[in-house]
Amino acid sequence: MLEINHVTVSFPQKGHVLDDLSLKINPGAIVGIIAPNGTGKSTLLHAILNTVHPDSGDVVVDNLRYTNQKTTQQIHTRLCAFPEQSDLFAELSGTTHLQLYAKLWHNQRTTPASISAQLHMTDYIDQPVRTYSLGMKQRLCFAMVLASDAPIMLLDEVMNGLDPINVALISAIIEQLRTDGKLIVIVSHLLTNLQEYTDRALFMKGGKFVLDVDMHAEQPQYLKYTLANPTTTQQQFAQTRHALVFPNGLVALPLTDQTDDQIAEWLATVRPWSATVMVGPITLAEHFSRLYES
Amino acid sequence: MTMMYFHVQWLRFWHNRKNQAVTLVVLIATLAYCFYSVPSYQPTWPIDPVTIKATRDRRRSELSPFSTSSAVQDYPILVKQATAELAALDQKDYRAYAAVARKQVLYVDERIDPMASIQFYFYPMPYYADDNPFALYDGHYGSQEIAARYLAVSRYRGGTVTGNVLEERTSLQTLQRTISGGLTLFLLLGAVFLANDLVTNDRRHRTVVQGLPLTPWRALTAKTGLAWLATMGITGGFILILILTTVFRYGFGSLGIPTTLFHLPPGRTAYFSTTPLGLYLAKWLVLLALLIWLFTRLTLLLSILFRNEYIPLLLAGGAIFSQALYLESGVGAIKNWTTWTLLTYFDVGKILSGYQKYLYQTDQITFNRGLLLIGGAVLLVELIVLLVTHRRHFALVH
Repeated sequence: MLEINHVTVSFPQKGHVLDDLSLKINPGAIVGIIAPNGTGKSTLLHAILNTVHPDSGDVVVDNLRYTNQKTTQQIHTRLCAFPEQSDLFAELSGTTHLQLYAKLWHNQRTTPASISAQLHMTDYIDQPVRTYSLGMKQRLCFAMVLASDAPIMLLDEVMNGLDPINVALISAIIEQLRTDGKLIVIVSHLLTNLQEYTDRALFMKGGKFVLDVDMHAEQPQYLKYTLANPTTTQQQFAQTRHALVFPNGLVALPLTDQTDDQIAEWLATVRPWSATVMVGPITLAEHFSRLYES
Repeated sequence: MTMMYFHVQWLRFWHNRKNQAVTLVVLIATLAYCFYSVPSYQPTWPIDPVTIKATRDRRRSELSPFSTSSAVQDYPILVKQATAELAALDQKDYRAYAAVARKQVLYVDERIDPMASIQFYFYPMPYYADDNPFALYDGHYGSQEIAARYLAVSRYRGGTVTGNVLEERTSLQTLQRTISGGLTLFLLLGAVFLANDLVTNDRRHRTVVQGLPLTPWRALTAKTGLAWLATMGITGGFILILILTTVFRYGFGSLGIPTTLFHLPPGRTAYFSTTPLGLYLAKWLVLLALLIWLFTRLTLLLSILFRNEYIPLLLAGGAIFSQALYLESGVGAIKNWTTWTLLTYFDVGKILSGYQKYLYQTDQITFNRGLLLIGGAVLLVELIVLLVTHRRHFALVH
């Protein structure tokens, strides 16, 4: 289990990047951390990894705290962070990278060969990394985390630079990891992709979690339509029905406690205003737009 | 677990351009030394029958009733000794040659008085090169050294004694001469060059290495072991090339061949003893291994403390040659602290031959004291490394 207890991290001239942040995650879950660039997502992962030391608060992994080098090592055997592709050893092969992570994390379950086969890397895995394309390096970085087989995996922008086929491949593997009981913290800007498999989505702003979406809970339904330049009448219509109005022109009318007749009436009203009208929950991308687009 | 980390570090180490350059420079220097310097070596006390004969004949011809009293007294003896030397050489009996040559060296040495204004005899010319102000003292030291060695060789029964053995040209003796000439200092410099960026290079691979489940102490020890092994490997490569380029021409030599050790007991006459060459080389390897570990560890520690690869290079590299700051002839007899200073013991070859005692004019610079000081320094550096790497938030990579 991963616990973050009242963690505050501040940097000179930046103030509190993480502000009294708390979080508790159990194994077998995928948690998405969502926020625009420069709002502390990576700092949060660094704090979990202890490469950034909190001003206050602490990180607890399976009841272990970062109190000395021994416990740091014990915690690090339980979690593995996704490396940056620019940090790979250019002259060494992908196999060597996988072997390093597999051995250091005592992976007895999978082999570097099976992981490279799973990620369709077999053809080039023995070549030096300097010969890899960006996408190949990105897959290798993910393969290294898989090679660790750590109970907790911290994935920062794992889908960057990947084509749709590989995004789908890695998404499927991440879902399988959840089934295997892994705890996965993922930072991603591919919100539509994240929506498909994340169990919980946490939106960060001002160093705090400002929205916590449980993806398995029943989501409130909305009647959603888009207005580029709403008239006064259209604005009043939305306002009187407690609509959520998004910076990109999206209007969402809450359907909770509304009768079918009422919904039918609203539909009849808004259909002439907008080409696309649909019913559904607020998506992660829409939450993102509402929280961060000005 | 640590072995895999070591394996990856090892692969990275040899892909490092700087390390490749250091290895190449060492290789070129080794080849230049083996193919140019070693063959052109001229022993200070060469076996030269032509000169022996010419000197004997000259002395014989100069003997007359009008000769100086010293000539009248000395020449018959020297002529007789030279004749015996020539006979021994004619029969290729180098033990016999060593025995009689020793007598002649000592005989001449006794007749050279550094305090006298006029000298009738001279040491070999190399002692007088570059207007050496200590020529007569150095010549006396050399005479005593060669006399002790010739005596031991004349009694040596462990193998064949050849002219190459007497002139110290065999592979093992060439190695010993190289060690006495300062090889250790250059190997230590190589160790510093190989180790200076081992920690700082990880910054370029921060996210790959910073979360590894390995304590900083273990990671640092793996890096130390790597640089130590690489330097010892380079040393082994140097020795191998040296042997291959000399063994067919001069012979391998023997670990039992006597080599000399200078003593300067307080209040008594200085003298030389002999030890088997194998013991000299074994002692050298022990001190070399400790010193390479010390300098590698020290360089890594400095690179952690300064978060920089150039400062350790300057500090550790400078320390190797810092003996020059206080070394002057006889300094040990005046300033006893110099015999307790670690810097005095880096040039291991001179410690083992006793030449350092001669330079410092003290009997206190010994292998045992070197072992004590170097071992103590290793323990001290280990303690500092332990304290630094066990701090709660310490990380090798920032």
